[in-house]
Amino acid sequence: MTATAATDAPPADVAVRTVGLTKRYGDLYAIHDLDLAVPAGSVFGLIGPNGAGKTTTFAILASVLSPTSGRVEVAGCDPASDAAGVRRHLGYMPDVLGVYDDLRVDEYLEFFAAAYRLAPSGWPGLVDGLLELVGLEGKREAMVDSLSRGMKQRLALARALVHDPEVLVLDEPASGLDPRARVELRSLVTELGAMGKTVVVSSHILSEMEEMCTHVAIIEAGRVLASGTPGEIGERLAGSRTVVVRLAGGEERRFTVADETEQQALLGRLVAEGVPVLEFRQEGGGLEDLFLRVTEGKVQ
Amino acid sequence: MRLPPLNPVLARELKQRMRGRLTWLVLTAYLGLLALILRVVMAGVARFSGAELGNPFASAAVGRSVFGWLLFFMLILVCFIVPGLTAAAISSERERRTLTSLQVTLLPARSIVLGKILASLSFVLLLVVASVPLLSVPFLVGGVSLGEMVRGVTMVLVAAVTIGCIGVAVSTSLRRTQAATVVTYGLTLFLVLGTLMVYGAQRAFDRSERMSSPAVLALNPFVATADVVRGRQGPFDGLPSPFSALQALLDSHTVQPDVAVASDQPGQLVAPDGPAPEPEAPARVKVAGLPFWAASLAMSGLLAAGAFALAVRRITLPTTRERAG
Repeated sequence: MTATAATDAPPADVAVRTVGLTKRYGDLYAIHDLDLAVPAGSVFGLIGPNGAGKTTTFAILASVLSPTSGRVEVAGCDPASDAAGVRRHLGYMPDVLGVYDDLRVDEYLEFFAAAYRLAPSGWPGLVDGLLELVGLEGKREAMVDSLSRGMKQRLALARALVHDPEVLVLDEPASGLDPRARVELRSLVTELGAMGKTVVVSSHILSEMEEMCTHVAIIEAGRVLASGTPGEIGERLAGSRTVVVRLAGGEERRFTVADETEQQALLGRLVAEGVPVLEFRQEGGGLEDLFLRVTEGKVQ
Repeated sequence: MRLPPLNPVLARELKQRMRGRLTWLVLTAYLGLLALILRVVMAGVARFSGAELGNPFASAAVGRSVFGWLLFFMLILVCFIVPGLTAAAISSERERRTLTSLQVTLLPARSIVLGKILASLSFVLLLVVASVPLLSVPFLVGGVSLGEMVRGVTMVLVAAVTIGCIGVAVSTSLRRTQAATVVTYGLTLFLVLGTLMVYGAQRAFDRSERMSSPAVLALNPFVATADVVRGRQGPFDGLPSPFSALQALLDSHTVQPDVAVASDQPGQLVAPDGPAPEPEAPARVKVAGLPFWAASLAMSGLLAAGAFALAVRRITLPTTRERAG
């Protein structure tokens, strides 16, 4: 199934695009005819059960794995023919954490700065900036070995940002973290999105994705089932959306609107008429709900 | 002004290696062992020959013998240390899950492999350089020329490079460091003992009049070193040297002076009724038209280059199969 909302986006606004992407191992399809269009500057969540093909997709985007067929474009570069071009524009954080424990935090980041051919004169400022961004400014001279798992995860994220890439691909960045570290990482990803980076991220925790992501794609068995903003997906599924309005005094009213434009118009009308609106929200449409509805009957 | 490292992997590896306690422990153990060998061999050789070191011929013979033993043990230590250093080079990155992060940087695969090999070899170079003062003892006692010493040490380094490249290639091909270490030691054992066994089998089953080719021995670092540390024959030759037997093996491939004698030009044989025969050393053995040592260098170079190319190929991305790391 092709996600029309995603693929219809104009190419100039798309940071990552896959068309008919397929990866096959013998008779087994890891991903099958996958079409994705990640808008530039979005935080794009790839949602799916284990074995859906998320990690394979990420590995192809990061020029780690070559596809069996299909086309990929990352910041205008094809990972198969221009891996160096992709690596210049993309920061990749694989699903399993691996860091050099026997280096200091600043040495670790400087090593990757050297590996990305950055001028040594800029390293101290770069390291300071990255450590501040990920909240490790007090750990500059600490050994990597001494950091907690959450800190190591943030250090790995800083490593992926060393060369200031436009696109970040984060495969399950919060896996294995405690609740506090998850919250910190989530706000960090949101901040990266606010900085204008295109972030492609996967996670099993749908509530977490809901808070972070501006766009999502739900994939299963290597195929995209739905793609777009959570609102767009919900709309396509229901044909309309229900808006709940809570008024002063506790009264709740429900309105049915066709799309986002109608939803905006409704809010404008209520305010113009002086209706005392305390809360204005879309009913349902949560990622968890969407995920269950989209994958209903299709889970193997 | 801070300069960028020529190879970031090499710079990082050296930093990590020199920070650990293992480096100075290995260095101390290595030098201690060599010094012990030097002491024991010097005493043993002097006693065996009954030579007095005041006699220049006797001290030359003792110096030669001690030099041979030191070089022999340096080769043994290289064969023990280099596989251990290189077999983990890539597989340990895979096990620590750091390889992919490294591969997706702008470093080409050949820089990663080269950095790993150079890091291991720089440690071997440190060991060799640190042992130069010990090697200078036989040099001062006499009987060993500077050229011979340089040739001998060069052969030790060539062995280190070859085994190092093989180790890194194995490390890229196997997922587990333990397996990579076992296979690298196995391949090193083949170079040292396996080549001798293949050669022995060739000779045992060769029914032709012509002697079997010693080409397979050119891969053997001990035989190659034996060929470059022959020195000059003197009245005290015959003192025990670990290379004597290997040199005799190589000499068995040359026509002996009672059938034909060596001319002034090395490698050219002339008939006995030609110019007046001199009691010179027999002509040196050749492999594919090259002196044995040159053939050995060429084969080691090819082997190292092949292993290097294989290692680069194994870690070049994108790949068709996902490899954890």
